[in-house]
Amino acid sequence: MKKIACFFLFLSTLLLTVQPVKAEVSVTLNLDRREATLADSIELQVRVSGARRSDAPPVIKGLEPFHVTKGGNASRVEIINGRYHSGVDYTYYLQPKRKGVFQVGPAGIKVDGKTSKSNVATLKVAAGGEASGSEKGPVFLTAALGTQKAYVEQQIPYTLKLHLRTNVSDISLDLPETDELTFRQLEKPKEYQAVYQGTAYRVLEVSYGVMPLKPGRFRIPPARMGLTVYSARKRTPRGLFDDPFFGGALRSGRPLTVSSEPLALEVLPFPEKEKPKYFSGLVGRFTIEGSLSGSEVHVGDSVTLTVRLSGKGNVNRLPDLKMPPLDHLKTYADEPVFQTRAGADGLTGSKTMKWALVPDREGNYTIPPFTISYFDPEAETYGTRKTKPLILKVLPGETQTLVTAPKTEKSKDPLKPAKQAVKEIGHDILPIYTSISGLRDDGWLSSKVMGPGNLFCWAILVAPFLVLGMVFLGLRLNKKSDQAIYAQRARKAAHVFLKECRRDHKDANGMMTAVRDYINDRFELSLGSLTPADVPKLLMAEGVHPDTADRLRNVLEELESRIYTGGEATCGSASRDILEIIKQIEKELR
Amino acid sequence: MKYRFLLPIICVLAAVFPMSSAFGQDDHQGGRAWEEIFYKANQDYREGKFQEAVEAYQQLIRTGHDAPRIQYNLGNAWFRMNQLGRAILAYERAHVDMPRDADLNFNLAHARDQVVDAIPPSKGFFSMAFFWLPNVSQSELFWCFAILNLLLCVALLIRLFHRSEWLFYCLLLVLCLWLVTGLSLGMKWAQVHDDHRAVILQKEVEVLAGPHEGDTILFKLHEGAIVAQERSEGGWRLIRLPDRKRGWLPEEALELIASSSP
Repeated sequence: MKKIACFFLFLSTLLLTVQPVKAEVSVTLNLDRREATLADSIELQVRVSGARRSDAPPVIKGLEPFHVTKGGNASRVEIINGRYHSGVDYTYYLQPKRKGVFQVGPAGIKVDGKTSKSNVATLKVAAGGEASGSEKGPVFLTAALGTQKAYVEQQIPYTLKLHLRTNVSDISLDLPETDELTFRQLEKPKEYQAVYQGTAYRVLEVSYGVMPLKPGRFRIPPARMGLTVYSARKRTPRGLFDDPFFGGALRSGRPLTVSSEPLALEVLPFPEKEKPKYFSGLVGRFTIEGSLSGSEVHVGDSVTLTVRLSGKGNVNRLPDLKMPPLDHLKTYADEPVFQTRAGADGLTGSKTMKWALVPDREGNYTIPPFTISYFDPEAETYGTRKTKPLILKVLPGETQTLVTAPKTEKSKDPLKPAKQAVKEIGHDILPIYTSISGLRDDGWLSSKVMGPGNLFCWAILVAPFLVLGMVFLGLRLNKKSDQAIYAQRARKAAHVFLKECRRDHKDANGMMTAVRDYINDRFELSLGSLTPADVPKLLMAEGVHPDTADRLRNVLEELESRIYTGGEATCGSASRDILEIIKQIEKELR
Repeated sequence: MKYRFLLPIICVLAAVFPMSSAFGQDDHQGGRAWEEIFYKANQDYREGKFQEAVEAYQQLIRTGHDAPRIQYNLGNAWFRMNQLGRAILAYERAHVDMPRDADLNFNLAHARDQVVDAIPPSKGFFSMAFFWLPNVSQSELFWCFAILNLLLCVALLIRLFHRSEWLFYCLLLVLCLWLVTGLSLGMKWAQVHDDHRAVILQKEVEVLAGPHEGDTILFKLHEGAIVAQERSEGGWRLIRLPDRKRGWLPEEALELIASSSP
């Protein structure tokens, strides 16, 4: 149940998504063959597309030479790629009254009050049994060329007809193989009834276009068809395997190969007389059309030039036309569009070329005509076709006014033009400098004089290092000068001490102070007080002999005891001892 | 007076940097004269008298006012006279001193577009490693280097009195920049002062296999093409293209960009 629901859902979705195509009504007229005999019955079909019914049956012209039998009509509906197409087909059977070449059509049909007309078909009617009088079998193949004489690259119809009076299957075709000719199938195979030498046959017709590649006389070898033929048996009481359901599939068949007769073709070269200078080798009938998408355009805007070549013949040779350069008109070529169609009349096709033209100056421009030349094999003359000169009027560029509108949230104006890349219209250099600022000579710093030879540059670069070096040197010198002062003071310390001791008769306290100053100066110290116990350590650390240091300590202890016992007014023999000890220390330190 | 030793340093520096007289200043009257020539040349250019404008700009250059903007104006005037080679020559000379000038670069590109010969620019290792060199002038590089030089010295100076970690890293950074800028300055100086590029001045010139009229024609060059000159000999110059094509040209067919004559 669930699956069925899904199926209907899918079907309804499909139908809902189908979009009916609102196409214009078109009418096509088809004959099932192009040649017939007086004994044949020809099927005529008028195919109407774009409408499922018409106001009245079609009115077909050119049916006077025929007995017409109505075959009915059928409407059809097609859904292709989700698009809906409809149409109606009217079928008629024609029986020729006389032989000749007849134009059948056009067929006119009125749909919704509007009349549409079809194409015209040509039918050649011959008297029956004009072929060889010899009796042919139940299966035979015929080949026919549209003409025995043709020009190089002219398309010639080549028709193969397989006549059948028995059932066949597995049909295969081998076309004649030749280097000078090319074959191209023009239509789908057609099947119809025809009378040949008074006998009714089922005819399978295949049409090809033959194109000779070079001039000369050629023999077209026979075409061969391979098939399986089923022999007609006497009717027997219907058995199980004669049931139509099996379709005779179980009947035995024999393979058969039939050949057509060889044909002769004379291929003529192009005549040299009146041959156009730029003849490109087109053979057939061609036209050329040119158009502009607009006759007026503003400077900077673009207009499209379209040139369309079309015709019947060797359309593969349709040339790519070149747009000649025009002053103040830029051209941008589009990719050419080439289309071909193989039909009963041969190969037809078209090539459409487009150019976008962008003018950069106002004025009137004339697009020169485009020309093609071709050879018409039916008229046996060269033809030349030209487009009409096209005039393009270029107006000045539009001045746009800037309008500032309040910006509303989420407002999207569909008419607002899309942003586009800025187009360059012209090229030129920018103007000169007119200010004198920046024109003065840079003197020593101009590029031309700047370099290793420029002293000023070196001065700028070296100066910081010079300063750095000087500061560094100064610091070093400064340090050294302090040391020298101290050394000098040390060297002079004993001399000063001895001098002071000789000049003044110092008491014990004064002598102690003098010894302390001597030690400070001599050993670069800054002691505020000095005890006798500290002295030996200091002296021995500086390299004084321990005996000398002890002697000084003893003398200093004696002086200290004098100070504390009230005898500080005199030094006694301590003064003389100290002088000797100092001299001894100086000797030892030297 | 502990730092009295700095006094002679200051005296030495004052002697080395005679700031007031370092820049060659025109005297007032001379300055007015060249300004008048400049204004007149501009006026001639605007009035379409390009030949007169060219002569005036050339006069300014000859008299020492070889400013890049005058070379630019001269290039414009040559361009207007359809002298594409001379226009490119003047633009290239201006480009040496003002490589990032938008107007100059636009005009130079426009002029180069019109050169017939497609000569690819030569790309060596150094030009790729020092890719920024074409976009800076020599004086800009010099001042960058001078500032970094000063910063380096200041950092070293501070380090004499005060040692710290951040100062060490600052010193390393400045040292790296100092090295890169110094190398760039050296490269730039070599480019500017050893510039062998020359511009073809004639509409079409045949490059010969040797410095003689009858020698085999190797190839042809057109106005505005830039070639490298290898040497000159008896009124002929040996030139080289980036794709290693070499040949001789008469010396009047080309002019060196580095040459200062207008």
